[in-house]
Amino acid sequence: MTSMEKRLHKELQLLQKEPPHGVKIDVESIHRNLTEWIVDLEGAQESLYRGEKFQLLFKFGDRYPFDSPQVMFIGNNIPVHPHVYSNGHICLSILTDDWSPALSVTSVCLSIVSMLSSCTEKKRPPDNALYVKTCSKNPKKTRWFYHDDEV
Amino acid sequence: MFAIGLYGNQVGKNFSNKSLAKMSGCDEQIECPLCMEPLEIDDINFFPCTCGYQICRFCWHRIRTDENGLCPACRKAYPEDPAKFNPLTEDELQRIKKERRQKDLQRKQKAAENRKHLANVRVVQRNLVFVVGLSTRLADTEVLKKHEYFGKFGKIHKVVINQSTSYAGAQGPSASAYVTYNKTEDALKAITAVNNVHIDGRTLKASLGTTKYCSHFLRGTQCPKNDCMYLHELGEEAASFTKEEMQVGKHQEYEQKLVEQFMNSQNTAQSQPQNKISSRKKTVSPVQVIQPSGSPPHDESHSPPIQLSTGQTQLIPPNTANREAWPSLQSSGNIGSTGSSKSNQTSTSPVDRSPEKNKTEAKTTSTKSKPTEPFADSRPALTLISSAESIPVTSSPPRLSMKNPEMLLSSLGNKRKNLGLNDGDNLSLFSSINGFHGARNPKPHVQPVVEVATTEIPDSLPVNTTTDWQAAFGFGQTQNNSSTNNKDWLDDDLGFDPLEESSRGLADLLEKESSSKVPPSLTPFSRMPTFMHPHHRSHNSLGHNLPPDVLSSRMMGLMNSPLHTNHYPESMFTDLLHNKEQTQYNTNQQQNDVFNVKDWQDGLRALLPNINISFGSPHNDTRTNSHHNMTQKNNTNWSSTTHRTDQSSWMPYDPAILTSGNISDGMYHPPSTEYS
Repeated sequence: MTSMEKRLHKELQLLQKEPPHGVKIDVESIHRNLTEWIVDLEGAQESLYRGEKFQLLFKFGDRYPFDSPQVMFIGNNIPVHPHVYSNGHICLSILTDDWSPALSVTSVCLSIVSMLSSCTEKKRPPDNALYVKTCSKNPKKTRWFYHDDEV
Repeated sequence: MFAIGLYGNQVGKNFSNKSLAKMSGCDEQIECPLCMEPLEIDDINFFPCTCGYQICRFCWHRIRTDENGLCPACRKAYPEDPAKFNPLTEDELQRIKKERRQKDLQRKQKAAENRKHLANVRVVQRNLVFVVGLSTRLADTEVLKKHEYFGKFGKIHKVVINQSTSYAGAQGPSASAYVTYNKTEDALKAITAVNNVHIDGRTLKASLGTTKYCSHFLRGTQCPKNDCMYLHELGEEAASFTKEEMQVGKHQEYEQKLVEQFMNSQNTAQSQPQNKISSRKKTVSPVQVIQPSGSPPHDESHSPPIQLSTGQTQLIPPNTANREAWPSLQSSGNIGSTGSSKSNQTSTSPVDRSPEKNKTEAKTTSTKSKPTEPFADSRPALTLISSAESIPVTSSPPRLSMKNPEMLLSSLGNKRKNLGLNDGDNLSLFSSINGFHGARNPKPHVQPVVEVATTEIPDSLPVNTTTDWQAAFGFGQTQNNSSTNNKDWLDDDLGFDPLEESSRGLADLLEKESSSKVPPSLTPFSRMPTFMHPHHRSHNSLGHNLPPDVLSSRMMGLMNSPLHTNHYPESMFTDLLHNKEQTQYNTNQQQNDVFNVKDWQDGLRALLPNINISFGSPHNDTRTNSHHNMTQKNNTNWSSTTHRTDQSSWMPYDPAILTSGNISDGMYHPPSTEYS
């Protein structure tokens, strides 16, 4: 077992054992393929997304955890959020430049829930239309400019 | 591209640190939070960053050389030297190692506690045969490993003898043994073939053996023995039984299942030939149907064939069922004779069919004459027939050797055949025992009939028929034959076999002959029913005439022929005595005849060293055969002529004898051509 698999198994174990509030792992999807996880998220109670359900797709590369996973929203319900494009891509620094091997699936999920919770107005990113047309399928290929420190 | 969001490094970091701390805290061992490998002893005091975030030196090196060189937790660049690294002192190393050792020990103790309950558990081993009832002669590892004993069923891994006679029961001192085969099928083969076999005056009982857990395993320690036969890993749940369960017999049910599965798999492979045989068997019926008598007893005489037809559809019953149905049928005399008779029939078939027809005639006559007798009485007569039939066997040793396997297939034979035992096994202990066993079972009467049917069938087929007989007999004899069965049987007997017509004609002819004869009242023969029927055994009569040791030795000789060749003369002698009574020879002649026979036999043996097996039993027959040979060189019409001359006088009295004479003559044919 590679260290990546070992680490993923460990994370999965922990996530099943003590799932953070509003985060639920789709174990079946992982049994099919350890390197692609589907995580169900629930909008936090005190947020604009209360009662909404979202799905996150994690794709882990061989270099995980030293390299960040691909993380994006999938499914019917892509949260309307200034940092989430309508194709599911998320503009979040820890998913690319600020990734640290100390981060984990759980921590990423909590970060995203937290990001949603801090939203004050449901709207798409201003360049959504253009970006969705031109971007790569892999959100990690996007060079993000994290100029919004507020949200 | 354009990107908008910049979101908290801080948030992510905080969460990550917590969760990973938990992750690593799951185990007692400290793991690197990145690669999840347990920290080595040297890493325990290794903290590369001032923030105190601990990773293994491998990951630390990787981050510094291949990655961004930042601490995963605080994102500060790692300093050139680890912030805090105090190599362990020797004392600390020792202490840690000791702790680990203790933990190991604790873990093992825990495991031992978990295994305590296994001490009372026995696990059925599918490749282990447990045999009870071994005589002291057999209770030897090397003996049992031999090919003529347990070695024939497959490669044996180990044999362990238990000299304790605690399992012996009423059979006198006998040992038990554990025979471990390399293959499961071989063990089942051995069990089906050996179970309930009679040898050295004891009945062998074979079953799957059980094993207990090794005490070392129960303690959670390494077993020091290389070849320890006890269990060192958890056994299959279905095969594990507590002592209480075993007392209830649960493990036997399990074994039964295995055996049935095994037999089914064997049967399916043989199903095709069996079907053919069934049609063949029907040919048997005509012979019996011909008989004019419609009396109830007559119906009973039919029972064997009926059973045959019914038996075909049935799965082979467990051996025990058949055997136990006939507890009284242990006769040494019959053993050899039945086996030989089968061999004769099969062997002669290709060469000359007339003898076989004679046999069928004999059968019919015997069945006819029986009607007046109770059903039970009819059996001895039949057995007698079979013994008489054995005559040719002695005269034709080579054939005997070839055909023995088939003939021995009675009762167990079918199974053995299915199991793929070699013809070469015929000389072995168990095969001869099988023949013996067959003798014990009432099969003898059935066999000749079936044999007729099988004569034209390829060699492999007769075996199947024997199975069917057995199945049929096991049930049929014990149960009353129902009229419905009879009807079925009658329905079936539309002539399928060309032999049918000829055999029927012969039967009629024979009947005429026998009826035309004038029954002279002969003491020896009139006596026969009295001493034979009560015992259901012809050989019991031997017991009357001979000292018990001779009888037993004869049995030994038959069964262990390879080992105890010296017993042959005795057995021959006994047979001779017996037969002479039957055949009405003068007592004066007996001695001469005996010697003649011996000489003859010796000569045969010298000529055919391989043919030890059933010489003993059939010798009386050989004598008669030789006698006939002298008188009649031309054997073509042999059966009818000899029949009239020698045995016509007493034939009417005892059907069995009649048939014996007949058959012996008929069978004799091949040998006569060889030796006359």
